[in-house]
Amino acid sequence: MMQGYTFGRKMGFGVGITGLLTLVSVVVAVLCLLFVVHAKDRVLTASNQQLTGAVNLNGLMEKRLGDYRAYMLYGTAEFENGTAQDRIDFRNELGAMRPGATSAVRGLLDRVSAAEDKHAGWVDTVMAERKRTGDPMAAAKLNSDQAIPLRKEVQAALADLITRVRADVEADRRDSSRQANLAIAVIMALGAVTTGSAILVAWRLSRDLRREVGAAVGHIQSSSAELEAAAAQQVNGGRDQASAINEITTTINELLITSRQIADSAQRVSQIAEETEAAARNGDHTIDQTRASITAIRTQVDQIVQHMLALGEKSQQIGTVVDLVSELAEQTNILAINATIEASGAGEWGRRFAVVAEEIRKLADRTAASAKEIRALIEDVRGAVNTTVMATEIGAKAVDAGSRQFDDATSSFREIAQLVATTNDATREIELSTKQQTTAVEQVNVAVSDTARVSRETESSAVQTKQTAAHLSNLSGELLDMVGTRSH
Amino acid sequence: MDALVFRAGSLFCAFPLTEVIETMRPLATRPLAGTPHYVRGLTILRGEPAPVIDMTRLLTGVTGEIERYIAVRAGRGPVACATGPVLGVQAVHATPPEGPSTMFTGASRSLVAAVGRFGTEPLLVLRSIRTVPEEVWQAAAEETGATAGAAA
Repeated sequence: MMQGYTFGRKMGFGVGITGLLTLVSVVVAVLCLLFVVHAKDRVLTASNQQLTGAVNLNGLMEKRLGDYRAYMLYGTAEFENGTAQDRIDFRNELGAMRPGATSAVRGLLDRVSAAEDKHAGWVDTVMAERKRTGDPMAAAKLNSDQAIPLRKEVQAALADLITRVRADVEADRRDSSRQANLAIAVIMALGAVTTGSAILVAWRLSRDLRREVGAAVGHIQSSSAELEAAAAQQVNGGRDQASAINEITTTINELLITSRQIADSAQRVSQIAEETEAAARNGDHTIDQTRASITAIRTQVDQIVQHMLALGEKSQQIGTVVDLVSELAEQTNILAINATIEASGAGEWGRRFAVVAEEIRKLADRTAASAKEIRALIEDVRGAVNTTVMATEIGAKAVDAGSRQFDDATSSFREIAQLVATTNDATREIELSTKQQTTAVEQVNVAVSDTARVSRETESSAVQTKQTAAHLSNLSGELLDMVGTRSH
Repeated sequence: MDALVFRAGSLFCAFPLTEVIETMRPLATRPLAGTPHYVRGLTILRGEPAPVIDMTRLLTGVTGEIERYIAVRAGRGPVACATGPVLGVQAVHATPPEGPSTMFTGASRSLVAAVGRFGTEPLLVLRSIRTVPEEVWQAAAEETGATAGAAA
């Protein structure tokens, strides 16, 4: 019935029921008290008015009888008036008892009134006889014959009236007591119902408190433990974050310094690029001069090659002559030796001829040696010429290649000049970007400082959260003890 | 004694001048089969076939550069000795046959007449070529006959 309600609503509902029952009990109790008071008031009123009135009637009747007897004895006007006054008082009292009286009481009042009228008539007659005769005895004789029976009849009617009134008062008292008992029973029943309801509500609330609030507090306790652990982790994370932010701050400061250095370098590079661009513009004239110089070198190299080829050809011709001389020297050598051989068999004249032939052979040897040296020199010259020609041709090819490379270099140089101009623009952009980057890094540095401050605050908050979580966990434990859910 | 001094490989050699006919440049030489290794072949000396002896190979056993032919008188005719450079005619002083030449045997013993010196180098004085095998002379004779037949 109350499954989906919150504990507060349940508690409110229970307290409301209990309060409502208490209010009903209070209202019913008040009504019962009013009823009982009314009944008792009615009993008291009846007792005060009816019973007192009846007793007063009896007293007034006795007083009149006293005044009447005194008049009978003394015959004075005082007692005569007293008797008349007593009858007036009696009749007034009798009239006063009629309102609120029951029909039975009114019947008895009528009986008393009729008996008193009869008695009063004889009393007046007796008193008139007493006054006329002045003889108390004669009047007493008359009284004894006629008035006393009427007096007894009045007294009997008054006794019946008193008895009746007392019976009515007793009945009203019993009735009011019964009503009071009934009211007490109703109040006790309502009190029992209210108490039972309060006990039931208290039991139900206690059970729900132990069950739901205990479970919730258990969850709060476990959540507090988790929150404490998370706060501890957050504290550690905050510390790590703080140290990381410090490192970041240091790095950003270094980056800021580097960025400023880059900005300065970019400015210097921009200046150098401008100077380079100017130098590149001046380099075009130098390139033209260099191209003319290369063309002149190429022409000179061609001439050197031609001269060297002519020198090689001349050396070839000299070599041919030297070969011829060498051939002649060798042939002369052979002839001289053969002449010496022939001369050795010709006696004294042959010996003298052999001496000449030997000298000729020596000359031939010297000639051959000289020719050989010349041949070697010529070979050296030819080798040098060939080497020079090859080197010159290589040089010519190198000049051609250099010329082509120079053309390529010229193209590259002009591209470089254009690229330098582009680089100059890019460098200016880099300079501007680096300054913007420096500004951005400074802003980042400020932001990181703010982040570090926030991180420290977060760490402090995490520490406070951890303490609060621990305190909450303790409070949860205490609350569990209070609701009696903790398992011991 | 006057002798014609020449080089055969690393050796200095000499022929007695009385045995030398003439010196000349190397001539065209035909190889001859079935001859010793020191016989280079046959050549034509003054219209006559003559065997060519490689002196460097004969004396040193190795092959050397040939620069001159020396025509010498042999028993059955002239012989062309292929040598290195001819150094000229000089008077040589040779040791008697009982000297260092006694250590030679075989062909060298019959070839080396005496041992002298040429400056600071040893000098072998050779005697007339007698070691040309008979088949070489026969081949030369056959060559001569063939040459005469071709001329007729």
